[in-house]
Amino acid sequence: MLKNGIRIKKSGLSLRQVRNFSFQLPSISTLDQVKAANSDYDGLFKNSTVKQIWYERGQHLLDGLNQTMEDHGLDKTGTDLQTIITGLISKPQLYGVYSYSASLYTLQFFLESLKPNNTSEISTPTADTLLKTPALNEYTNVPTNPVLVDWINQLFGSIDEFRTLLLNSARGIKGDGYVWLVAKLTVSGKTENTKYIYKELSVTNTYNAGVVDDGLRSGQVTKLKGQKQARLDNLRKRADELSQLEGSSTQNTELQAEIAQLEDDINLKELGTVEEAEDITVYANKKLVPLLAIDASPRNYLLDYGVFGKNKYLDNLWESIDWDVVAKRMPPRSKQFFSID
Amino acid sequence: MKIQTGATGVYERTSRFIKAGVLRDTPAWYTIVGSHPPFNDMTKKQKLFEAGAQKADPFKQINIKKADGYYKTRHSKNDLKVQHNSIFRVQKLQFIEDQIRDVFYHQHPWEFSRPKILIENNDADTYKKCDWSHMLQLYKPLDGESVVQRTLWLLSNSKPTPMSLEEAYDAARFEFYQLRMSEEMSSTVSREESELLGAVYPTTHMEWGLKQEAEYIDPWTVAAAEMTQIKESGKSSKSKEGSMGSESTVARESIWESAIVEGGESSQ
Repeated sequence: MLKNGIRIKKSGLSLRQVRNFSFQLPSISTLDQVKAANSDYDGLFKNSTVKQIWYERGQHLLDGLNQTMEDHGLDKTGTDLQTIITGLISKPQLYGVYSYSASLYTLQFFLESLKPNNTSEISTPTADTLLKTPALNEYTNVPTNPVLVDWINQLFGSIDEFRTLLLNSARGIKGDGYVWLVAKLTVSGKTENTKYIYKELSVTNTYNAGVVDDGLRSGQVTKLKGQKQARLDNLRKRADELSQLEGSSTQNTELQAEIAQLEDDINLKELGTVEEAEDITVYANKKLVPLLAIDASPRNYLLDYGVFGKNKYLDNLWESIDWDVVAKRMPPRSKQFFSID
Repeated sequence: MKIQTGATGVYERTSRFIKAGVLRDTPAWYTIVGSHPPFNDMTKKQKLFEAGAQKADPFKQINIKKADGYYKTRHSKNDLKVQHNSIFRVQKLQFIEDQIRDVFYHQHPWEFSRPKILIENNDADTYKKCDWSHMLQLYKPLDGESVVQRTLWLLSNSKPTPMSLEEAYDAARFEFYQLRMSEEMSSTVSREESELLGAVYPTTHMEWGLKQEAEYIDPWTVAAAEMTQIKESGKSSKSKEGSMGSESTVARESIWESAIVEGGESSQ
């Protein structure tokens, strides 16, 4: 039912208002310039590739997001991608919405951290380049922000080492995936005087529609355990009712087997799983703040660099990193007052 | 084995063939071989013998009348001893590859712990196919041998300034480190990637071994706990404080024992 652009939809018992509003493709200035001038993205992508990876794929993801949100009757007003991702990461029934929004967010994040460059060339390497040892220090693009340089040097040893780690992580990805440079946030203290401490930088990978923020995963296993417990309670109740109805002698064997299985699952006389330990310790007070993303998926390099072009593409990608953007995203660094060497 | 000398008589044979009309045209090499004939005696000679410095064969000195009118009728111990036995010994072969390999594996002993195929049926062919202008090879995994071969290649092919052995070795070594890092990262990322996409890996050998052990250790802990208790009670009854025992001896049971006993009972 449409009324002045406002659609009233009946879902369950409550009437929820859903504005007829849809997300637009975000504008990325470097890509818009390339599109307007009908030129290449210097040193990284050809014009047609830019169109394909952002204007076509971006639009496809956006359409998918708008459509799935409408299908599920979700309110789009006042939300942004980050909110959607955070809200939906632990709701498997809304996986489609989450997947579209996460893909779009990471793609935008990746493309925004790049700038055209004049040093590298787009070429199609041949098969024998696969056997070449990657060059260690044949690059010109380095971060200039002194705080960032100092931070990288302290955490990774040197820019050379950081570059090797970043590009090696990207080389390892076989399918669709991103490599991220992240700052680790540790939250300490009680609510009144909470401290936000950024001590470490680190390199991490995500695959498919993965997002980098570990904090979002927090509580998954506990939640799963709670669900199992609730299910067990329900089954026990049902078994009791059944036995009362049919007389205490008869017992539903299937039900009993299921109860036994669940009991086994819950009351393992073992140490917990790694996931449980992580859930309790690692994600509780941690958050990862992304500074830089590198897309290593084949769809980015196949068009311009060919099947053997991943290394060349990654080298060019390094040359295209806009370190000013990275420095802007960088949170204030919490320096240790003493260090034991 | 009979020494083959047939090939050295090729000039004579060809001459005969030409004379007899078997060959119409003289081969291109004919005059050259004629003016520089090959040695036709391929027998390996002992150098002392060639130089005429060989001592007389003691075996031929028997039963010959000596200057003093006596005869030597049997060999002395010295005559029977094998002299110059170094010529029968296999020569010690020395290669620079071995030295580089030795240095590398002494510096990187953990490289030995990597699994390696020891049966190599096509070893010679594999190495012929390798091109050492780059370290990664299509026919051979990256290992210490790659460093050795790459070092040798760099030694003889580095341009424009030739490298010293140390420089070449270091260059090869650093290439090796770089490729190893890349390889290790690749396997880690692959594992992580497939795990996140749903792969489940079987238990490792270590885990399997622990599980096997546990089958025997678990009942043993129960039995051992009981036996320890009996032993402890025996001790406390003989203690100096008398059969009642002191407070400390009575409350000696540790939390570990009780935990094990509880676990044992519930599993039975």
